[in-house]
Amino acid sequence: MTFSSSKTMSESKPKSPILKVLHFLSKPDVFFFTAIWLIILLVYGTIDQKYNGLFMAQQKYFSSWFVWGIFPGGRLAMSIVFVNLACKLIFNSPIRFNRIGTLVTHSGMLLLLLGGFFTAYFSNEGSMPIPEGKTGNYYQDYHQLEFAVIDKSHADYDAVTVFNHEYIKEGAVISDPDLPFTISVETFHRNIDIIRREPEVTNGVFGFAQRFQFVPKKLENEFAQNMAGMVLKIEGLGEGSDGTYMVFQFMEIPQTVRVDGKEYVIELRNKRYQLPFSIELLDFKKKVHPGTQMASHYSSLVNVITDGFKREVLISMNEPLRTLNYTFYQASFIEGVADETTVLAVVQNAGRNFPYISSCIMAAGLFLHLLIQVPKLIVRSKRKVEVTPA
Amino acid sequence: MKQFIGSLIFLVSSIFISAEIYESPVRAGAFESLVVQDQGRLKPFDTFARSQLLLFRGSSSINRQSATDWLLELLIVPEKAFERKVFKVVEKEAILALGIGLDPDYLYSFNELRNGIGERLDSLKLLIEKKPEERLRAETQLLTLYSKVSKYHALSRTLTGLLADIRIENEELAKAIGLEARKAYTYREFMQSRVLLAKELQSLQGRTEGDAISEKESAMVDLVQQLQVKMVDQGSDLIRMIKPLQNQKEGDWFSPWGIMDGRNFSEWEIARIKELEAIVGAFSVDAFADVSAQVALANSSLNVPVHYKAELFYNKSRLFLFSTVLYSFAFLILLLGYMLNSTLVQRIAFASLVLGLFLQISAILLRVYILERPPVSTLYESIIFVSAILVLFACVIEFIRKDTIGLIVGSIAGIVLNYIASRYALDGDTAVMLVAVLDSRFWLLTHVQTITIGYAISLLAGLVAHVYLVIRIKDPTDQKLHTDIFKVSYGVGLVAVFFTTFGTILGGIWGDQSWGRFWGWDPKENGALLIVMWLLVLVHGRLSGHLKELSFSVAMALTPITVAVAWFGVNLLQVGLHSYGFDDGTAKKLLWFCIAEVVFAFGAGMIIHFRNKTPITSPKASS
Repeated sequence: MTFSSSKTMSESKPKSPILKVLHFLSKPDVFFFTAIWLIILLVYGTIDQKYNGLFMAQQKYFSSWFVWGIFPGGRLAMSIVFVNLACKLIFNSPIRFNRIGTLVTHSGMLLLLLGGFFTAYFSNEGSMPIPEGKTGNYYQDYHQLEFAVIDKSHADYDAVTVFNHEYIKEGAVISDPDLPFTISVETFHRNIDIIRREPEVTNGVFGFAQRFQFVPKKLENEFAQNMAGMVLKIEGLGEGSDGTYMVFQFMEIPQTVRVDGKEYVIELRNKRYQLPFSIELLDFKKKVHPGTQMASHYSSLVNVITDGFKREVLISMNEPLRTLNYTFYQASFIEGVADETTVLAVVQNAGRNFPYISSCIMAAGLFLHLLIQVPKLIVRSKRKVEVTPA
Repeated sequence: MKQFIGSLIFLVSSIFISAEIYESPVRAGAFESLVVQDQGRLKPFDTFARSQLLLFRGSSSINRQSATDWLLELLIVPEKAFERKVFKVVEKEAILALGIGLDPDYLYSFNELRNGIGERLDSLKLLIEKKPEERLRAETQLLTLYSKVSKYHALSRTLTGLLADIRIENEELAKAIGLEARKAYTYREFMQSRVLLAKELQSLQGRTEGDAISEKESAMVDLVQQLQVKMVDQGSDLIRMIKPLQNQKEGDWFSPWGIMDGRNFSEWEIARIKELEAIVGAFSVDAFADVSAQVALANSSLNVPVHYKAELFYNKSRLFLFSTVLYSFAFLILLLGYMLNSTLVQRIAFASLVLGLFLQISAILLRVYILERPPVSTLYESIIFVSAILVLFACVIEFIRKDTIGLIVGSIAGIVLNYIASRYALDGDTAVMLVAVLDSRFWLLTHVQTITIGYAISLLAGLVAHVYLVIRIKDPTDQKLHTDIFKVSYGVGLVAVFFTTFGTILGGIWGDQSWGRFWGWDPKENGALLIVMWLLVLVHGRLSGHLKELSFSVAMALTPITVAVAWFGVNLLQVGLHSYGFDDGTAKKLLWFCIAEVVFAFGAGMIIHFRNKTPITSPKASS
């Protein structure tokens, strides 16, 4: 690394305006100022985690394009770094021996950011609780919601119509040609408390909403602890059934409606991702450090069932199950009275190989750079032998 | 700072000036090597005793009396131990609340505290019922003291189940329950006759007060009373000394009272209990008894490798203390060398620093051997490791440059970091077990060690920048020297970029392997990223010309802030996977550290900047 590289850039200024812009974008100055901004975001966002929880702070500062209205959010800042790096590699990377380390490191970094992009846009993750002896074939998103209408009238299957999070907001109208009724969302809150109605209301109000109502509540720091709730207006059920209904997350007794003798369950739930196979929990094991309550190890023995074919796998801490595009991690457990429930974390990530490749490249690049530069910088002091000018 | 200098003086004096030696009423000898199970691992009794003494005393010995001697005294002759001033309580309010006169050395005996508590039991009970968040600070301190006093008492009763002190004076009763009269029995031995005693006791049924009773029956009443007193101790289930199964590798051990839960003992259990009875019996007869044979016998039944001899050596050799002393010595000699302008004295300082480093690395390796895991797994271990790595790199710089920069930086950092580590060591046994997610040898070995090395080298780069600023103030004309030191800090900074970046990415990969996400914006991850970003800003600022030699050095001198924030600061947030327990004091210290660094770096930068603007006459040029 030379100490006067800013001069080398100014020596060859391009004339075309496009090239001028690209040339500007390739400068270390861009990174310098963007990185300072990223540091500010990083510090602010991390402190904010204490007050608004990991998920909310991440959404607001790190996964956003803008913060505080007009300022660049983490995603925009990282995109600028990406463009800066790409321009640098294309327009401003003279191949010289003493620059080879930085060149390799920068390529690795570019790849890492690209991987980050894939992960941000093409990955899903969620949790999958399975009680001992039971089988599961879907996992649920930690944060995103969905609205489901389940037609229970078929003998051997349920017909499920699912509406994604875009329908879960005030004023949204939920309808489908297959459904004989229309639902409009009157109110929606991401976190609620449920209180009893005194006295009960029966006039145009049905089901759970007759005896209970909810009040909106401040979001929890641990986002998954929030309980979302909706007040719905349903039409098309027929006289005496059309009116106001209420659903919320984690309802123990599902809300049902009846029309033409058919029963439908309406549900507000965490978004579900269907797996192309199912997983049966055979045995959950938990071990503690002797003489303490501190868990030293836990693991789940499961059957992976694909088209009736069963394969036994042990999932434990730091040793996940990888199959197809999915990875299953031992995340936690719920201790019940009779049996235990394992909680697996499920990840489907298109960008998961990027960090592995890019970190190898970056480590090699940085190491090369060190080998070339550091011996030049830390040298024997010549102070003692210098002659003081008279 | 005062406290720090005070501790340093104490450190040195405790080694060179022999303190008054307490005449211990018991001499534990080989008992210190008896293996017990505590906090999830097997360890020599010595380590257990030290961590207990730290709890009550805040130090791991009392006036040169070893922790094992103290604990054995408490176990065998509690009445004497209760009279001794073992408790160190600096919380004055708690002591005053108990109506006890303040001791100038903050030392109190168990009896003093117990009497104080005994008179105020009712109000203490009210305090316990109060919600923790509603308690005043003094009230919390009082309750902590109360629980310590209770624990001290429980600890003193732990081995009573092994003492042979149950006697039957009445021949007839003794015969009836199959025992010898006037012979002392242990609780275990006595329990073999419990069925017979129960049968005998039936004769007392239906009696009312005033009825005449025989001598045998009177003896029976006596005996039952003896047993009742004894069984009060059953809750003292504190020292796990008995391995319940021969081929057991893991799982819970039992304390002497814990195993006497009415079970029918297996042969293995009886053998283990008998071994302990023999040891305790020997001490109850002679407080200076040699129990090495009995302890060796007990330890021979372990069946699992426990490096208790190495651990005893580790405990006693106090290698970290000696390495700190050597660092301090190196620092003082170096100052002397500056005054005398002597290369020889500087070489002695270098030798002292290297020797100190050797001791510190030996201590770390000993821990690796004892605990069978990589050197850094806990916060305490990270401090001693950072200290060692920093001194090591400082020695390398000194070896290459030979201009005392490495010496000054290495010795100061070594002293300060070892001092911080010694404060953390006061929390108890530093060799604690890990929660499940962290317990992965491979990732501990790669990610944690790499990032910790990154911390050390970032600190080193920052410290060299400090030296740069000081020298530029002290000697403003020697530009060659300034640029030289600047280059060192830049070079070390590049090495720091390598280790912090690589360590951070490895952390991400661990995250991907274990939880399925490469990056989760967890505070600890953000902390590591903060150091990386900061160093990258410095490097690119230099490249783009935004940072000149001086502004670069001012910014580099602030690097220790990013390290401190990543290392200790993020734990204060108490969110995310990485946070380990913390107290308020740390936040304050951290804040002061940051303020001091900012004041120093900007202050020095301003002085240099404004002095450069006013023309100065170089003393060298003018001479």
